Amino acid sequence: MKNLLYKEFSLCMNVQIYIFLCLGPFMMLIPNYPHYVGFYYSCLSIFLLFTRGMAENDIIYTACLPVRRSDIVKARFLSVAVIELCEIIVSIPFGIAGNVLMPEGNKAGINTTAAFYGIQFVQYALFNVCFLIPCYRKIEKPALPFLGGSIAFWAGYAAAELPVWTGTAAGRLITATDTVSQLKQIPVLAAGMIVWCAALLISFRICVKEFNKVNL
Amino acid sequence: MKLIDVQNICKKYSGFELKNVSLSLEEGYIMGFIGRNGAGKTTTIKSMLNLVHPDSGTVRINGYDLTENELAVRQSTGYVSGGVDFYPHTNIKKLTSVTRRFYTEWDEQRYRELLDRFEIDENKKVKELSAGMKVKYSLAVALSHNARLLLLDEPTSGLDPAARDDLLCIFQEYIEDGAHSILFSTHITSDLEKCADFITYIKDGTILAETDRDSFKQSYVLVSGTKEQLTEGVRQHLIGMHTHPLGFEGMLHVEDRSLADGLETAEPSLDDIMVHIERRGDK
Repeated sequence: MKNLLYKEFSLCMNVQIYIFLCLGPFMMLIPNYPHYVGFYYSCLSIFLLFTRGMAENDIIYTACLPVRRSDIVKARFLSVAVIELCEIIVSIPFGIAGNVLMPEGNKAGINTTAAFYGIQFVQYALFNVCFLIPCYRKIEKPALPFLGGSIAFWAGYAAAELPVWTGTAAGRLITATDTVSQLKQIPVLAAGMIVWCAALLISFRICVKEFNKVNL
Repeated sequence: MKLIDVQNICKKYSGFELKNVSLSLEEGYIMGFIGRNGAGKTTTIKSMLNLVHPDSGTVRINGYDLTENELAVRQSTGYVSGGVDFYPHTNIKKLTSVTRRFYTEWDEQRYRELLDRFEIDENKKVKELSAGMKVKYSLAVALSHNARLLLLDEPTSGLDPAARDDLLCIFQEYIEDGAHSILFSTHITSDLEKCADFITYIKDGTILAETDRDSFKQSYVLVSGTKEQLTEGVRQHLIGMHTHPLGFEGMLHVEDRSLADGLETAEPSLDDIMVHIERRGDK
């Protein structure tokens, strides 16, 4: 597995993917900006990972190596997980800095809070299910799956921001940046992480089955 | 020991079917796998590596059952395809640094020797290599991980005659220790005249013949004659018959040779056999 991961990061990743990864955290410093938007760039990075693989004939190259097909899928899923986790971890200091530099809060949507990250995990879960499964159903055709993944991501974004925009009690709670409120948001963060892990695991199992059926 | 033992593999696609394909090859030989484009050569080879999943049949490669020991099959087999570029924008050095990690028997010294011999500059990107150099690079990788069997899918297509001849010499050297074998699919039959010990002919997904090269060639005879000599009996047995203003020409099975009495005959080349089998004749 470590050899496959080495292949993923040395052959499949390129500069463009890393640039997109950096964009999300930096965008958290833009005043009054919907923070979820920045995380969409990591979805673009994942899409680029698949399109680059397609352009470089990665599937055939990898399938000819002495590796199991399930491990090929596992390595790609781990790459996706690493991209998403890196985006979240790197964005945390930027989110804290944004809250400090702009104490008046984010007028365009949710502030960077524990609940925000929990909801972000759910949005990644939605994207992963809607993008990865169709990607392995029709190998080398990631464009339509990406459209599906993007629709899921933005639908999740609208659903998550709606309570904040309308100022409901739940909306006020998840966007509050004070320590007490953030402690109350921890279950949202934990639930988001569980949903993300479960979605990745379920998608992985489905994708292995699909990829095992593919004739290359 | 049989390095290839394929029994009755079937694979159905819409518009194409591989029907009960069986192949076997002992150590120390080169088998030419011929047939026109779309006959099923690539599907058969890919089935032998599980890149394509056969609907039925069994595959044993280098003594390993493919379904039970797929990784052992991959470790001990080199697959070279003439038509595919992997990571064209990556340099050879980087690509090899990744590839070699997957092979337990990687021989770095042998790899270096092969790069020198093939005059491959490892600082070049894959796309900067000529078609011949790409095949040579794939061969260098396959030979450096101690593959016992090479599965070569149209490796000489698109190469100039000098590059093809160079590769054929490499193939001969590879098998001369008696422990290695090559399955070599091609539609350039002149290459097989030079190096193949056995010929397997596939047409429309069905194996027509699997035998040693000389027996294969001797199983047919080229005939030609005048219009008057083209009797109904001859016409019925001719393969790939072609008529022209002066008469006709075609090919007979050697068991029908008695029909060739009085006709001009000649021993066919592999090319002749393929042309006549595939020709949509006048009849």
